Amino acid sequence: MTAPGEGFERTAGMSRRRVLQGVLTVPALGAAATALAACGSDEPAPEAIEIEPSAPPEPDETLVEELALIGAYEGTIAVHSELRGTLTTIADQHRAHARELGATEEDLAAIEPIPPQAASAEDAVTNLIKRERNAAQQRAQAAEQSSEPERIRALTFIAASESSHVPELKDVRSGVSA
Amino acid sequence: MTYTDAAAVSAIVRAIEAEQNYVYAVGLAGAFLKGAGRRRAANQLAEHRARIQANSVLIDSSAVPDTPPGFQPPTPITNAASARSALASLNNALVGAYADVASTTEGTDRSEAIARAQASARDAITWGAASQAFPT
Repeated sequence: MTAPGEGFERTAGMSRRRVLQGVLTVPALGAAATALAACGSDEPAPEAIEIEPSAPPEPDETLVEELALIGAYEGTIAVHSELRGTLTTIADQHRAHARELGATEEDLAAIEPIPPQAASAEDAVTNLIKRERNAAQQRAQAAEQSSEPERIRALTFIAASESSHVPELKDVRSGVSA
Repeated sequence: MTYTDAAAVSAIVRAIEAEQNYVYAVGLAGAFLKGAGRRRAANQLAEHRARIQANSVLIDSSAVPDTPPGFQPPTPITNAASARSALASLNNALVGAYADVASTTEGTDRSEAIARAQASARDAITWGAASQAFPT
């Protein structure tokens, strides 16, 4: 069985970073931009074509959530370095998920660690387990709602992977609390 | 719903075949497992047989593959460790089979395929596999 392909089409050719930030360049000339169909001086007057402004695309929530998940792992690893081994492996898997969802290396490099709000390493892992459960559920819902077969397939793989992180993290937590 | 689209039928048939192989392998593995492992194997036998039934009603009965007389696991099952390893590997293979089913079905059929992919990925961990970004 082959894993999903090499990422999805970029959203309307925009940089992923721009989509993530929800920042769009509004045409400088206002709500409607005018493009000229012809420019030669000997030619008839150019025909004006009105281009309706397109609505700004919604940020890809699935990708934003995936990047936040990576930030949570990075933050936990920074505070609890004794958990580095397994958590780094899982964080790398989330990076692979994010790439599959369209993240660029620049996006991944820009992730800010999210410090765990937990009193102990055990609690920090418990928080990650909750995040993974939510992520698995959200990816499953995204797969259910998608109309693109390749995206459904990729999201199903990702939902399965994230679901498998739950028992793996429980093992990590057992080791911490032992 | 009965799917007639070739891609959906093909994906569902592959899932049924993967489940038939799993049922055979888990029966074989059960002979080498003890305690909680054997109980888990017994529970999975029933669960995966039910999956075969559930998948079979999604396509015309003429397309449902017959149960093969045997199955050669990807790695020989000769003791408890190899039994666990084989079941972990076969569970990961089921993830891919159900990802294909999910991508060619709709509604609750898709939801169930996704849920089965997730359950199989978790079961792979329970049988001793390490997690993967794209379980295969």
